[in-house]
Amino acid sequence: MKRIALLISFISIQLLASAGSLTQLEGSFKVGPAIILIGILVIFVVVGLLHSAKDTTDYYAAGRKISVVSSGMAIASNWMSAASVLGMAGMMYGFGYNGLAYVVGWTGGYVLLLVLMAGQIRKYGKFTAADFIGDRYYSQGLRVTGAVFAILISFAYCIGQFGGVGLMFKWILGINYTWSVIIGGSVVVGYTMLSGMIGATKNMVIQYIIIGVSFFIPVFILTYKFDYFWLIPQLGYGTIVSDIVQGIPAPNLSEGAALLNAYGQDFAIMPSPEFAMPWDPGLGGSFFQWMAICFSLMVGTAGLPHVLQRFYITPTIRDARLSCVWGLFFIALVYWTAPIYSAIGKILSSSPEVGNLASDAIVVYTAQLGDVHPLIVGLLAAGAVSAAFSTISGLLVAGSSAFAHDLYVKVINPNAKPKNQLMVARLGTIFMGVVVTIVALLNLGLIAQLVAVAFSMAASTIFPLFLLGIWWSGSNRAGGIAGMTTGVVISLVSLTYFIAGKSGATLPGQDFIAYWLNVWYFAWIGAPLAIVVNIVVSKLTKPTPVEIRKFLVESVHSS
Amino acid sequence: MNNDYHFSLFKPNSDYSRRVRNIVLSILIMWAVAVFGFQILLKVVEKPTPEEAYTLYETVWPEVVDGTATPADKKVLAESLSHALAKSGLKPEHRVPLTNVLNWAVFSATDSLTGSHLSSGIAAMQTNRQLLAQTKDDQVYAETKANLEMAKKEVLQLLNTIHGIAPESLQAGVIAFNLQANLTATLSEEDATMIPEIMSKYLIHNQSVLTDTKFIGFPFHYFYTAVFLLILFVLLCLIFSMRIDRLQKKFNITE
Repeated sequence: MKRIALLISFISIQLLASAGSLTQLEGSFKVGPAIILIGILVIFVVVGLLHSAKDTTDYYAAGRKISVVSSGMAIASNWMSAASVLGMAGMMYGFGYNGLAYVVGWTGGYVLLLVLMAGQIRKYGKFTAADFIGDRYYSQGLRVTGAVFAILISFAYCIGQFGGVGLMFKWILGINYTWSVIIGGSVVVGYTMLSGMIGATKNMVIQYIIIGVSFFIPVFILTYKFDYFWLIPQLGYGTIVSDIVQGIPAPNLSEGAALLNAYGQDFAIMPSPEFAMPWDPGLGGSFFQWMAICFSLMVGTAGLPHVLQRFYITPTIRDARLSCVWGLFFIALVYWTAPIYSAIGKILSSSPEVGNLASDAIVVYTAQLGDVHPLIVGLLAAGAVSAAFSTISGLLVAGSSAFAHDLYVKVINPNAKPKNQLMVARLGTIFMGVVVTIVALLNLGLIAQLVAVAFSMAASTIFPLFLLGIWWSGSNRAGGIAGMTTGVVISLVSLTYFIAGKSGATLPGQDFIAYWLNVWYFAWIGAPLAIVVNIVVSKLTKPTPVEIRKFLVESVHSS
Repeated sequence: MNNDYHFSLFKPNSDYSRRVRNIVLSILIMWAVAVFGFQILLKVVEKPTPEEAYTLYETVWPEVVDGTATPADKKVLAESLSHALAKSGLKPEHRVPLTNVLNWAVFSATDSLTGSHLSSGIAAMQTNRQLLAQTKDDQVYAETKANLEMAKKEVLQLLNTIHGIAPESLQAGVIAFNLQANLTATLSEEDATMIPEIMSKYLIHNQSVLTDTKFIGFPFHYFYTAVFLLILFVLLCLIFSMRIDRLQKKFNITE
């Protein structure tokens, strides 16, 4: 046995060693990264099989038995999509300080989520966001609307993720986009369908570890290689930012060997204050946009169904709170690191011969330009696949739960047996997976871009319902419907102008709406307006039934 | 506790709710001030601050517009323009006038023979660059790259001869990359009108004491937003959880 193990490890080492030299930058099958990729895919499927959902509680809420740290890792990996892991650095690379609005928005939202919602959501004891909305506002209409929104948001979000999976599979395996999407999609839909939230959550823990390891290693290598403080690069990369602001002159060769990028160009850059200075006119983006994006992303984070659903899986309410703290910490670890890639990538690509790098894959390109070993670049790509998988599985569970639990069980067939419920949830996962795969294969850029609307839409529709539903017993059905309608109308206006703009059509006031009600940040006005409308209409209409108020006071805010 | 079951964050109906309210509001206020308060402060204290290249550009631009620019002025202009041309966020519609004026600043300062050599060198650079982008063959790639480097070296040497720009400098690289093989480059009125706005857009930045102060190597505001705020968020969450735990213990609340 020991001999076999030694032989296997020897073969693996030989394969990996040869992989390094065979790996090329683009377009071909890459042995080392492919081994890593196939290895992690096998792990995901095995973990999914080992943790198959036995009942609907397993499927929707992982049996409510996930530990705090695991839940924190699951929250983090569920949250961090491929775009988040790969593209976050791209935001700062392309938009400088403006990109930090995304970093702050996507992390600060967790403070809102914890302080205003996490514990109370868990206390309410429901399975899904729509479940809460339907019960709290005693309205089947709102339940259905909430479920439809959960499905739509999950759907739009998923398409972008499938695109990311396709990109990385294509890069690693050298196969075409269609097969990349089909293979990647089949694996993630397969294990999520079998295991539901429980297997998805177990996999998310593993996926976070892969994301973390693959994301941190190149940063240590790059900072060490280019002579910056590498022991804690997350605190040490300030010098890189300051160097970019002041410029790094072309090296004087008499002082020793120059630092070069993978193409042999100097590690040098002309003064580029725009990289760090706030709302720089040269990069576009105003002070208002920075604030609006930051606010909308924060509030949107606290209103996304697949994020809210993570708080149903912990054994206790205290655990829900602590898992949020751990989740934010794990997210922050990656988000502290992302700007390092953008900073180093900025210098490495500063030569006009290299040109601007594609923001979506800046992390991988930076590692390549920094001449990091191809196997480690491959690991980075595998980390991106993990990030996409963890988000897709969370979205599939959120979408299929909304379909099976909120639409099928609560509206269509309230007497459905648990076994049938589980089957419908699985069918919902497959159906959603197939539809998303087909749409992703059509490669409709516009649909992938619609994910931009998800945050502001969630912030203007779902967030106000949760906020007022939890913290004000006076918010009633009429208020909820009016607030939701306000949020939907603002979302539709923004969406219509967005689609018109992308299609080349011009509507009246196009520039005005594109600036003030942009799809990325219309929640700056949408969310407050929906809250105000909810309050005003609630005050003017029949009060919330006493049994709802009683439940709220005694069960959710009890002493 | 009231028994009408009315509840609101701002009108808590028990001592426990009141204390929870206080914790929630105190955390939210700290969160809001830390995030938005700082950005507002950053906005209030900011001052438009030009890069050194912009200041130099301003010293020669009046002469350029008057038609009295000397070769030394044109050198300063070319180097200043290279700073704007190196910006990653440069819009294509802004690149065109910058490149036109750069061409004028270089070619109008040279004699026809040197200009002709420069033009050939630039054409060779462009041809090799196009080939480089198209080829999939490793050997052709290596040969083309060597040819490109050779042409670039020649252009850099000529720039040194014309304007005294050091061949190894970054400005020289940017100028060589952006020059067009156009011996008869002129300074058009349209380009001359657009340049001041373009230069100020790309070479003037919002700076202040908050951006100019260094903290562990970072510009302070960058450290605050990219590093400190995230630490603060985690701490706020931790403090909130601990305070709620303590409160629940005090009120003997079991979950």
